[in-house]
Amino acid sequence: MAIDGLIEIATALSFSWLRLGVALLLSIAMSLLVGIPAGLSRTVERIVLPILDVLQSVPILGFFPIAVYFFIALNPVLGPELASIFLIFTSTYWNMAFSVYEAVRAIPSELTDISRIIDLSLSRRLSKIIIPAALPRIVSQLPPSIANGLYFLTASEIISFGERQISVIGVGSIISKYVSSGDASGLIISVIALSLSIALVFTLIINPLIAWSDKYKFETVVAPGRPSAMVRIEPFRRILTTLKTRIPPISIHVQFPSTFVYVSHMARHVQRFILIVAISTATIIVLTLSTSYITDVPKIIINVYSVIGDLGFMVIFSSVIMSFGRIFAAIILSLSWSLPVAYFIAKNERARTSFLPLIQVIASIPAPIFFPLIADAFLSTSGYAELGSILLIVLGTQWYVFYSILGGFLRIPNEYRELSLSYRLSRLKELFMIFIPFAMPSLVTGLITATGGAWNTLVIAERLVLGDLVFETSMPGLGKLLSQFTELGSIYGIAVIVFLMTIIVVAFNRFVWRPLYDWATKMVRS
Amino acid sequence: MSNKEPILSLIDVKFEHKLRSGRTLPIFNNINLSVHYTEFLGIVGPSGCGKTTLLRIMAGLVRPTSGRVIFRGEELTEPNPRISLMYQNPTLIPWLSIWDNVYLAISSRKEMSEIEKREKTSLFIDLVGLSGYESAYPAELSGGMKQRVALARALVTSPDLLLLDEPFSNLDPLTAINLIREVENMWLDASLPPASIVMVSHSIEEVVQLADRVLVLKGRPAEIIAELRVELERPRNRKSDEFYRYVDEIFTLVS
Ligand SMILES: Nc1ncnc2c1ncn2[C@@H]1O[C@H](COP(=O)(O)OP(=O)(O)O)[C@@H](O)[C@H]1O
Ligand SMILES: [Mg+2]
Repeated sequence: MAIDGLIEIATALSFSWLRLGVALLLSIAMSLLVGIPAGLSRTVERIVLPILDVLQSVPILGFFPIAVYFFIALNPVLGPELASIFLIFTSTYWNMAFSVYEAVRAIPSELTDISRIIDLSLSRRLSKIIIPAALPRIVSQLPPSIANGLYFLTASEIISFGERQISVIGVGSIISKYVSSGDASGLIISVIALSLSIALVFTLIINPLIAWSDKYKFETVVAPGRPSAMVRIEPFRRILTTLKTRIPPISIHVQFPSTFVYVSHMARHVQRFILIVAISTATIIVLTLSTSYITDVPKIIINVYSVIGDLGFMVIFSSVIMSFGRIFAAIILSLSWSLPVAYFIAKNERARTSFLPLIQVIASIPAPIFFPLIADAFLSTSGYAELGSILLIVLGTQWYVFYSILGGFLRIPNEYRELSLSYRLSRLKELFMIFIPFAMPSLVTGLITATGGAWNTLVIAERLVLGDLVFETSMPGLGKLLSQFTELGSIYGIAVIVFLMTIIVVAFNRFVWRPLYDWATKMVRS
Repeated sequence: MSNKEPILSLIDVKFEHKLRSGRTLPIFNNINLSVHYTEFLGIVGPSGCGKTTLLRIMAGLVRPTSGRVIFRGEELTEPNPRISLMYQNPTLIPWLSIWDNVYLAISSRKEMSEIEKREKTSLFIDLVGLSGYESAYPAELSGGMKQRVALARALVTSPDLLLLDEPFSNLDPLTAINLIREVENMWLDASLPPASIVMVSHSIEEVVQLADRVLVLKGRPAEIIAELRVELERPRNRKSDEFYRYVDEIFTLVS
């Protein structure tokens, strides 16, 4: 490979990372802007959370074609670039916003009381207490956000959507160029370069950031080799000491994983579901209106009807069922490798220090760059098309499952881990009686995100379009329909399927995941 | 084995925490102590001086940075079923019933038959006054009751050595006094395990109430700065003058 090939790859890489960086900064800023008020005020909380919740349920990738039309209509030159940044932003924003909200809510009430008693100004409260409290959660969201961002970044660069040629310079587009021209060495070198750049970003930026933000963490459970609560509380104490206050001993309750705390209080609001449907309808309509410049509503309704009529109930129904089946299979596959590996890593301090950084990098290699390979290996042979499709979904979901299990395992209070040592429980007993139940809330949260991710991936997994090549499952599926509508440029078709998917995801969250989550959190409360 | 020999001893034990920054935080520089058979040893010290750490070393859960831990004549390198540790928090498993929580402690024992295990579980639940609550879950119990379950779980293994980490500090004073009295009665009943008890606490009254011998731990790195015997008749009367003389004496040492 010539020098200019390498330069091309380097340029593509820098463009991709730049895009990712901009989107992440935007995402952090917006998260603070929304998460802090929601964490501080009950009223804001009640309005913002359901909205965030619905928006995060929209399968982003399905949304992408609409976004592209929209941004190109807005500005033909910068449009594709903006659409790509928008896509990365939406793929990282929701988790980030929830994290900020949860961190702000989790500030010990003693600290809030003290700051009220000594009458801290809002700006001091923000800079001395609130933002520092949110920092560790924001930083800990960076690795999954980068992985997610890269996923959608490359997906947006690799996949062809309809007639419109979306040309942005980036690793994704370069890789798909190499694949379509059969340039194996170009493909390999760019994958290696990408992996190296990920490792570099993690070791030079992300991991130091995580170590640094660690001192802002509230924690009472002291694990071996980790600084104790006292050590970690130190910055907060220092802040308050400099404010010349007497500090009462701060007692912090050990909370079980507080992710998605909002779930339990939201469940009480019955009208929520109605609100959700209303908002999603509104979002779709607004986007449809603004993208196609159509203002007469009746025409939209007629078009939507004709889409549904053309498809027919049976096709829609069997698509839903088949898509569900594939997602289910993919989740089971992800679980079956994640459980043992996470258990091994959680049990083994040394494995943690040596494997985890490696896993971090592997997890961040955006799955879409493997799509061409999988497509080639499975989808082209008709008998294996289903298997290939499920594997593509696994690529899009496995890390959510793995990280949520590992996170849950690592958060098990040290004393409980010691119980099994003291009583010499067998590995199986320990895994099923202590580890898995303790990790349940975190696991359910991970499954929520994973299935969300799976719905997202469907549009690729069930029908992969690479340049002129199309790999598709023979059985029906919602993602397949979506992809076909996108190719036809049918805004109404896209809208109908995206809307249907959103409803399914929201309903599933509401009626399956949330009760399960509530049950899981209740179970671990002693 | 002669009863003159200690059941457990720490020899030149040094312990330091490794901090993230790479620095080390010395907790103990050189601790030497012995726990004798049929002895109730109390260790008092202010919060954060290293009491929990010391117990975890005695339990074999953490290895000292240097020095040795000898349990019944042999070096202790991992948790031993003959030593039970009761944590400051009950540490019950929320999704297991009271019965299952206690049973778990002996569930992996090979030398006991299933029937034996069941009988012992019921016996110790009964002993801590919780019969009737076998099928309840931890969340349904008060703090004092949870601590009783933890005690039953610590005793069901028939340990030779029981380690108590501030077992009463999370309870309200009334509940605490009741439970202390029960531990005292259990201790007086020679037919029950364990042979020896080590209790750490920051509450001087608790220690004077229960211990035969008291060690005072203080400083950073912590050292044993004093040792004294509590020569009071059992059951001990908290209101007596002698009781208060001991409390005062230790108080002056600690502060
Ligand atoms: N994992 C740890 N890393 C660093 N320091 C620790 C860790 N665990 C405990 N410490 C420190 O060791 C000291 C002793 O802790 P501990 O044994 O829990 O004290 P005590 O039980 O007497 O309150 C404390 O000051 C604490 O700050
Ligand atoms: Mg302690």
